[in-house]
Amino acid sequence: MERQSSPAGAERASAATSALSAEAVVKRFDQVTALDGVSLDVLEGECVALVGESGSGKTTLLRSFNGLVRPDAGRVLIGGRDISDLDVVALRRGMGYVPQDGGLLPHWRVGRNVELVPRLRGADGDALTKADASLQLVGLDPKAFRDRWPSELSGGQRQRVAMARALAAGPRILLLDEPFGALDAITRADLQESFAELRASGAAGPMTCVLVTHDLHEAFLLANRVAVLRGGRLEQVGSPSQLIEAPASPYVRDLLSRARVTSGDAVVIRQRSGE
Amino acid sequence: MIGRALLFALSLTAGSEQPPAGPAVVVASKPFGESYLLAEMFARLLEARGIAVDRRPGLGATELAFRALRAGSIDVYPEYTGTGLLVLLGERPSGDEKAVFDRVAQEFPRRFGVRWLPPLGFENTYAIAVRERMADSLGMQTLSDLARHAGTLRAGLTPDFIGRSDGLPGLSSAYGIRFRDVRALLPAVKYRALDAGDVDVVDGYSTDGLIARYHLRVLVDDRKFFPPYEAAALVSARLWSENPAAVAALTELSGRIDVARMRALNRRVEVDGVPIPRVASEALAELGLIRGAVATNKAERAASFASYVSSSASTLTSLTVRHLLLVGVSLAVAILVAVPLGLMLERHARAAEPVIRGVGVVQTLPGIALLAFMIPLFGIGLVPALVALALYSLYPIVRNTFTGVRDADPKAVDAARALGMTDGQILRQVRLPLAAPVIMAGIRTAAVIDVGTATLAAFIGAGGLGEPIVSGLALSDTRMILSGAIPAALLALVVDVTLAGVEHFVHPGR
Repeated sequence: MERQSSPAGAERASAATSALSAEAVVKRFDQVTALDGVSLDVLEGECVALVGESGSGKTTLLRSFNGLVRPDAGRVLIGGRDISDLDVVALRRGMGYVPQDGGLLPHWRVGRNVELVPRLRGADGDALTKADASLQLVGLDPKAFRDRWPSELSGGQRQRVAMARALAAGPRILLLDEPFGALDAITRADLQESFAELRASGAAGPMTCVLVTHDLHEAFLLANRVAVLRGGRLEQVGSPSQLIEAPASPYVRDLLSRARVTSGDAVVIRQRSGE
Repeated sequence: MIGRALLFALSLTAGSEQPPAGPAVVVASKPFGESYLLAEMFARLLEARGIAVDRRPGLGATELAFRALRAGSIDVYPEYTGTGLLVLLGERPSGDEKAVFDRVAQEFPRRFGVRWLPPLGFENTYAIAVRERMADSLGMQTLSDLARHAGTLRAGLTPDFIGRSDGLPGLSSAYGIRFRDVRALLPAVKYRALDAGDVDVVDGYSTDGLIARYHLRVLVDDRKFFPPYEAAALVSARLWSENPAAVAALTELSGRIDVARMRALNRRVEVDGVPIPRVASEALAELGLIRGAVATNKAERAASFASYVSSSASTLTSLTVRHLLLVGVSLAVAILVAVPLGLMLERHARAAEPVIRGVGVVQTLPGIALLAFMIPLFGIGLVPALVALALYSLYPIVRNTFTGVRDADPKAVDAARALGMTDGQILRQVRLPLAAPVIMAGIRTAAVIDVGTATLAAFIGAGGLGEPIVSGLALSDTRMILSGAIPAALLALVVDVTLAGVEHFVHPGR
């Protein structure tokens, strides 16, 4: 990645523009507190990975950025504006979304799936063109794939189609919820590489993205910054090397050691990202 | 309004029933042989006096026929004074047959607005029958004798008799009869069960033609438990006040049919298998009420209560077409109501279970009971049958629509919402297509049940393949029963297979 990763320092974050912000967000589901006062800024063009165990609140935080989750307290800002003042449907049409297992509509062929957002945005005329271009972008031949049913695709192909669908309307923001979680190791590596290239190749600079993952290696590979969540609270936010060199808590240290991340990896990451 | 439109549409397509010119007198019967025969005699006598007649044979049972008469959906049917007193007035029997007739003749106009014409001249009381050979070996002549042996005997009684106060409950307390075992048997099978030795005692009617077919003994009611059941025409308020000519014609039969004649007529129908229209014509001719014995064959069939007897393919075809219409229209109405209701409930999840359970309660009502509820609202014939069948079909469709839409691939629904589809778009473009196979399965279930339930429509004069079944049950004629039951079963199979094809077709994303 060519881009400089942004350190987590508050002075740096406020200097750049925040694309997405959570301000002391609280969310409860019945008795369970999923988010317990989480604040996080995602800068324009930045990729932030949300990591943590199941139930740590990472998916809830992701879903509060497109209004699928409404905070019980605190605010969510999109481009500096409170999400509750915005038309969430229009907002979502401007954000790409890739869930685990693709979430393709099984009764629509691949082509119709990818055309979804362009059509919702009223681009019926060139929805087909956009869909084909998007399929091309994720490495699928439109002619070969356009007329297939989702059930006829492999897991990797399904995720590529989901990615193409998320990108077809040219969003500036991309939300990904464990997009590569259900794939075998080789396919996953393949897709991770494609994704990194895709994100960087955006004409107006890299897309802003939030990536939920339970895989620290994936987070370090794809994200500029990593946010570690635990029991609905932010444990630490920082660049991969910051996390490795200065874990903020025993929990983060434990997480790293269980993922077999060593200080040697920090060197590799620095070199790779040109830090 | 809708009812009329439906009726009109159906009469266009069904075409088998031509409404007679002018206000026809609607003549009905209950579903057993003697009632069919008496009603046919009423009808033929009226026609002979130049009065147009509309026939509604085999209406459910006492409750159905009487409700239809009170509602003015029918004008006349043969009833029994004892039944009127006990079942309809809910009073205990008192005194002789004259006292019973006077009581009902006085109370019915006041309470229900309907009137009894003078009795026809015979009594048809309950008859408790046993095998002659067994009666001899046990030395049984009377019901008191029966009471001594009841503990070792098995009874096969009609459901009607088991429930009525003038049936088993009263009989048990009057004679102290306690059977070893009591089974509910339909009239069609009870004599055969008795003959085969599966049961030892059955209930029948004293004028039953079938008692002669098997070697049976009717036990004497030595304590005079059964009240007098004199047969008479029961007529609607409207007929009484507006059609004196018809009332006069029907009164011509009063006092003319004695018990021997009635038993002989019943035997001709039930034992000899002579068509009812012919027996009715001959009886009227013998009584000197009409000229010329037998109507021509063609006219007979056209006006016949027993057109099902004809095994011609055209009869089967028209019954099947009628049946399909009953099923098709009621199912279409059910779909139009149930699918939107199911979709609405998906949006109001809290109301869903109570509402669906409420719809399910309809399903638990016995078909006859539901039909009975329909009569005060819609009369008899097609409309109440269609309403009842549609109500019966709601449950599986509402249930499947609701669960199908609610449980539609949650990941796909979530992705659709996250990518900016509105709730309406999600419902129409995602949930509904994904739920289509489940909804279709519900429709298929409803359709197959509907084909079976529609046979009950014959009990309220709506026709269909139930007609030969109802008549066959009444006349204890297995062939006639099968002539309706087999096509109905085949129809259910065909409907199931056809809809399975549709279900396969609507399956998304193959």
